[in-house]
Amino acid sequence: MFKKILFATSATEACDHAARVAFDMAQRYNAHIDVFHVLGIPSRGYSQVVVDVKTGDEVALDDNYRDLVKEEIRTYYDHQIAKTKNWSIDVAIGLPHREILRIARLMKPDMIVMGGSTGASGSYAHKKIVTGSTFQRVAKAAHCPVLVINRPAGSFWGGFSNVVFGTDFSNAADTAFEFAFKLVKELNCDFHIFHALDITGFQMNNLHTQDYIEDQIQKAGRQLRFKYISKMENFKDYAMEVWEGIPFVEIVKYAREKHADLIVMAYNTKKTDEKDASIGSVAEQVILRANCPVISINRSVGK
Amino acid sequence: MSRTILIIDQDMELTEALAVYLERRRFDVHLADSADMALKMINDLDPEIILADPNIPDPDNIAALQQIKSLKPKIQFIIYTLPDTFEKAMELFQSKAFDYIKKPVSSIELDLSLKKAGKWIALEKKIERNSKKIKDLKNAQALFQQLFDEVPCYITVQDKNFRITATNRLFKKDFGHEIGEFCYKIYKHRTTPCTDCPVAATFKDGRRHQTEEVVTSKSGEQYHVLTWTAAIRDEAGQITQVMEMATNITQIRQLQDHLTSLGLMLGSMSHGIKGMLTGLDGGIYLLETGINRQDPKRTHRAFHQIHVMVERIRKMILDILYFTKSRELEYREIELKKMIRSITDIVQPSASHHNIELKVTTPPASVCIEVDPDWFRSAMVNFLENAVDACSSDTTKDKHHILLNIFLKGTDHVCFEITDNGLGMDRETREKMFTLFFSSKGSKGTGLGLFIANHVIRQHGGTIAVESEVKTGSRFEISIPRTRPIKIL
Amino acid sequence: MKKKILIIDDDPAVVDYLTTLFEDNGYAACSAMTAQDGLKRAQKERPDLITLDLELPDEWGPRFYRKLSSDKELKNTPVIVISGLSGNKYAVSKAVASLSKPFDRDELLKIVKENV
Repeated sequence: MFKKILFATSATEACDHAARVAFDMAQRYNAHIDVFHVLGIPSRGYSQVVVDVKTGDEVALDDNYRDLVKEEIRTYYDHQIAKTKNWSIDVAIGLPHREILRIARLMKPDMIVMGGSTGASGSYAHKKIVTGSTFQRVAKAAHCPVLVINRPAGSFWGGFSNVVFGTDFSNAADTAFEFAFKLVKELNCDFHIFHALDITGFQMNNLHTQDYIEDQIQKAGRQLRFKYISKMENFKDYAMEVWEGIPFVEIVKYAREKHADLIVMAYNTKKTDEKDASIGSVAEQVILRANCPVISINRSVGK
Repeated sequence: MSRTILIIDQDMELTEALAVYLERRRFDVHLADSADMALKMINDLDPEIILADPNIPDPDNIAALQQIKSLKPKIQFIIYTLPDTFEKAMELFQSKAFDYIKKPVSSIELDLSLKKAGKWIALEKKIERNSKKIKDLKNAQALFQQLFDEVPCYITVQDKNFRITATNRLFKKDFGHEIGEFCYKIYKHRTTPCTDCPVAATFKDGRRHQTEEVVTSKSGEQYHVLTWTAAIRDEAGQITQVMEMATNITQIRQLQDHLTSLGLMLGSMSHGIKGMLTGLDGGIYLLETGINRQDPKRTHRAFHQIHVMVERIRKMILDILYFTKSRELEYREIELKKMIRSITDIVQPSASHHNIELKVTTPPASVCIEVDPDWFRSAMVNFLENAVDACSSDTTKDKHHILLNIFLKGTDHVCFEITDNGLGMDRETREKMFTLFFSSKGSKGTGLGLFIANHVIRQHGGTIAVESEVKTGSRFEISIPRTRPIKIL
Repeated sequence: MKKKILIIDDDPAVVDYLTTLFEDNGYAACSAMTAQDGLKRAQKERPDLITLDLELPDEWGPRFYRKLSSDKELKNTPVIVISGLSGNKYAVSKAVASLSKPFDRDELLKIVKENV
């Protein structure tokens, strides 16, 4: 399932919790982990001066500096690497999301692991620009599942055993389902299938009656059975639920309630031709707020 | 440009005539009726040639002429005089005059003489120019040599076979006067050229190359150097030699390592520190309540708890200090038994607490060793505490013991053998135990203790041998020289 | 009857401290050093409150809590997280409180009192 993990990191404390999960996965599932760090953004055109992502300084770039950064990353993750059998370190220069996507195309990892937004790390303003939007861009375009750990609180699990799959019934959600189902079967997890009925559109003037909402809930339930449960053959360790509300809030709530240690969902970009594919912003919100790692899968995965 | 001629003669009629003649020959002609007058003129005029009738009977005139010559040695003198004083004039001026002409002056003779003088002047000027050039060149070369010598880098010039053909002073100081030796032999004590040699790369493409290398000086010191290479070409543009400049960046690298490991350590330690502070809180609570309730048993427990925590915190602080300050060893001579006692005093309480028997055997005679007592003690305590931990975490045996056996090895080494019957180590643990932050003790270990202990023993010029078997126990043999190792210079 | 508190922490010094503190304040205390042992203890002793360290040798705190809350008899047992890890406040969202090591013992006692 996870033989090759690409761990994209800024090698700072902002990624420490992501590192905890990435290395734990590598050890637990015997995977190769590639620690990948984009060490700087070219400051002007194709000049040899780059802005170091960690310090914000401008540095001249050469192989020596590259090795130095590699060594630094090696030291940074020393105690984790010490327990990992199969690892490598790579560095690159460029815009982080572009370089991460580039190496992902080359390496074809089973999963990309990364930290979320760096939040309030104060003085490192530039870092926010780098990491903050990086996970969104990677999640949007990667050809493999992307696992993001945004809150430190989401990193104290260790291994997957209780998975929530949130669906918006889009095509990407079908791919996400296939992935999630394969994962729960292989790792012997409990499986929670969930749909959130979006009632935010009803808020303004035409608030629907509860009868109508519950009709929709029943309809969604049938859809869950038709689309997913019917494909699960003899698998029994599942539960399914449809809640009405604001989708991202409901998914985060549901995962918390079920003590999920993983959420799998589709990452749909806004304004696709599928009319229900509004979950793009939903996935982002879930990633930012969840109490556990979130794996998102976009339309291009598996294609 | 015309040459400037000054004619000195009392006979104004003759001089006028000469002037007319010479002006026609495109000379810039000036006249003086006496040597005195000429003396006043020469500075402003700066003539190249002086045409003079010395007027032999007048000694003042002759002295003045000679003065002019000595003031302006470059002026070429042509002396003309009556035949009867011709010899006298020659006697007076010798080779100071360029030429002598007899009066009456024949135009052909004058022309020839002036032509010769002209040639001479041109030649002298050329020589002057060349000698100036040579002098400048010499200065420049000296400057280059000086720069070459004074540059705070190791500079070598090497031929295609990596033979060193020139070195600078700093190189000579740290690596010796090794002209003709191979670069790889001197820098790296190798017998074959290094792979990825920047010099070879420069020979190949003529461009500058840069690498970072670790080299060993003649005194055995290891330096981190940053090297740059540059091609030296002959007139035909062929690369004949390559210059390699190596800058010693050892200190920078050390500092860097230091800072990185410190930053890393503080990060990995903060969790441990929080745990210790909680434990200390617990000890203080026990102490407070123990005293309030006048419960000696509880107070005793409190002391034990606080002692353990303070020890743990002390150790951690020592660990941090070790990293923040790269200290030199402070050697002192100390009596072996006294040293052992101070070590066992620290370890005994925790051994007794875990019901572990600590047996010590020392050589019968009084022996002195030369070590840094603080660091050596802390290293030995680390080894012994490691043994205590190995015993106390082992639940498979009823009785545990640690043997510390000290014996002399040869005449110059002392050996500390620590044997325990604790948990023992598997191969992986054995191989990794001296690496930074490796800890098999969960939240109890910082992963620093043995790393530092190892470092300290090595700094003392000692060695550590480890034997261990899972579930059976471990044996450490730490051997150090009895006296401070003398560095080979 | 005395209210019973289960202490789960892998540091013996902390276990000793908490045990003494709780016993001094009129509670009964028992302890476990691993998550697995903690669960067994909880099932056997039926404690009125549990203190939980997040980082245990065999398992992380949140998963222990999940196992705990899947047990019908134990799911309503209040849990206080006591840990040195950052971000611990949100790791077990249903914990009645999360304290950071080193903790204020009066605060801990107050929380315990409110919850048993």
